[in-house]
Amino acid sequence: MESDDLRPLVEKSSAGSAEAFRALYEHLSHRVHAYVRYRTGTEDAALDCTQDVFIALYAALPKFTFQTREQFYAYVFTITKRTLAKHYADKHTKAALGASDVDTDSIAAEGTDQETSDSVIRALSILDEKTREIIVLHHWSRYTFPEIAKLIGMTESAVRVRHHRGQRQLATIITTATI
Amino acid sequence: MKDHTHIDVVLEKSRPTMSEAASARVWSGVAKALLTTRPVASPYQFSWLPLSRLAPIALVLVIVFGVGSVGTYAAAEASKPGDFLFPIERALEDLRLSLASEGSSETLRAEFARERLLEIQALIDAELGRLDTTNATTSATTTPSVVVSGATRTRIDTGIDELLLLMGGLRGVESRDSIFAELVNTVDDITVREDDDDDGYRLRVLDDGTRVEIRGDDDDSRSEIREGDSRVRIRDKDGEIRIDVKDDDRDDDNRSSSQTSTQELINEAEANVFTDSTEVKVERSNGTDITFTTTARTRSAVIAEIARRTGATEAAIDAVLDFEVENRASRSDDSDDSEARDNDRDDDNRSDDDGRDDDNQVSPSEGDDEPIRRIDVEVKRTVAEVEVEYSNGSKERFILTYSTRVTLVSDLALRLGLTVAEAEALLRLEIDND
Repeated sequence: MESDDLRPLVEKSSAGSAEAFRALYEHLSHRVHAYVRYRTGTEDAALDCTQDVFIALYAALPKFTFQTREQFYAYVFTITKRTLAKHYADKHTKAALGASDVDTDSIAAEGTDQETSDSVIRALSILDEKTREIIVLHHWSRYTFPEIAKLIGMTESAVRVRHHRGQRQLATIITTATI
Repeated sequence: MKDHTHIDVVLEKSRPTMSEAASARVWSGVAKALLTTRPVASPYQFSWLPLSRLAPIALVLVIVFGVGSVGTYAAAEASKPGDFLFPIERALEDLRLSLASEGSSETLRAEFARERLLEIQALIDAELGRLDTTNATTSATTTPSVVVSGATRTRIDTGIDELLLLMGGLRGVESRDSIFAELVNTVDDITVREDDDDDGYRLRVLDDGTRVEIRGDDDDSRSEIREGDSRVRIRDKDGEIRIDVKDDDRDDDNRSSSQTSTQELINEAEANVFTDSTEVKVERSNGTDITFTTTARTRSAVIAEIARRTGATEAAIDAVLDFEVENRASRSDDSDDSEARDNDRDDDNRSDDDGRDDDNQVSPSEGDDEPIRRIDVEVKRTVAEVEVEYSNGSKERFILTYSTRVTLVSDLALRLGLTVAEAEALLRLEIDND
């Protein structure tokens, strides 16, 4: 989907069109879910968070002025992170109240290779945070490098360099782990 | 390099995905939320919230007593509506008003109101100075050819807001009248240059001695202020600021005084453009009303038609014409009574006077004729069952399809002849889950 296609969807959604917002959802939900899934413990939590992201996005759209597709993605990403933060805060509150809410699920969603996922998750956890973020956003949420640059506020070349290094690191970790 | 390809594959394999079913489930949750979510409101042109007043006052206290800068004070005094320091000027005035005694506060109000007037004139003058292509002889005493930009218009709006607020507190009828007259003189018939809006619009002022209306054609904001025991009412509806002044001594010699020159023949004119015809009602100052139906559909055509029938000048008609486009066929009983409008607004006991036979189904014609008490909406899936209750107790029901709260509110507003804000305020929403 080109930037030119996103703009009318964003504008119509912000004027209250459910249809347009549905289209935005279709376009964004997998990206958001993939990222959220990696940040939350369970698939249920991931789906809840994804839902909250879109509700928050809808409420916030009138404040948003569409300029570029990257800028819009960055806006969604900010909302996603805020929603995640709230999610963590809620979980902490629950834990403090004594409610047990331990996430025992592994990250793998339905239909993915459990063993591979586990080793990837372990490998990812060794990377530094920025690099991990870049790998996840690029491979799982399918953002391009220029988009990621805008999302996390780095230059595109810095993103590329980190991504390259991250890949190399991951390869080493996974290879040594499987030997 | 081989490692990289490998790692790409591994990452791809472990990519978390959302199943179709899960995605649909999440969306249904989102869709449900859309029914109730009220997105952040768009900027509101007339901000009359009393609370917003307090902040500048606090700021002034800090500046005046904390910093003690006489320069700031002077600069604020000289500011015009829309200027950075204007809120400070207003706050300074509020401060002086709150410190003043009963009698002197009246004088102060009048003084401040005149200041506002001068500022509005200065704004217009500045605009004229910038556009030297327009009529050079036109000065602040406005002729219909004054053209201002949208930005200036907003500033003028702000000035008018403030002016009206000040006047709302004025007790003396004479000073109020004379300031009204000056305001009418100043801003009447200013044309606003089309900046980005599709239609140009004008500011028009109508003063019939008991009420002043200032309207732009396209506004959509509303607010209401009551002063004292609701003797003065300022409302802003569909871009029309209306002040209802109720004075005991005036109710008797009903509007015999202070007609402005534009209304020598016609007090009020109202045109409702329906999908099939246009209904026009003209109220003349000699007390006789004319009601007719025409095929004219544009404002200018309707004005021409009224002019032909009444002999009034087009400019005079233009000044008083209330032009509304209704997105439906004409109703059978147009039981509007403009004359009674001013006095009856507060009385909820206005009965079905002209024998409407469809008792429970009052047509929602002009929303401002029969005030709506509330709007109940019950949502089942994507269907909204709407029940409108009018102040006279009558009800109306209809069905709307419905997907987001925003579209529901704007549909309701359109259908009931309300502003979005009014519909929002009256709305009681009930969502029936499953």
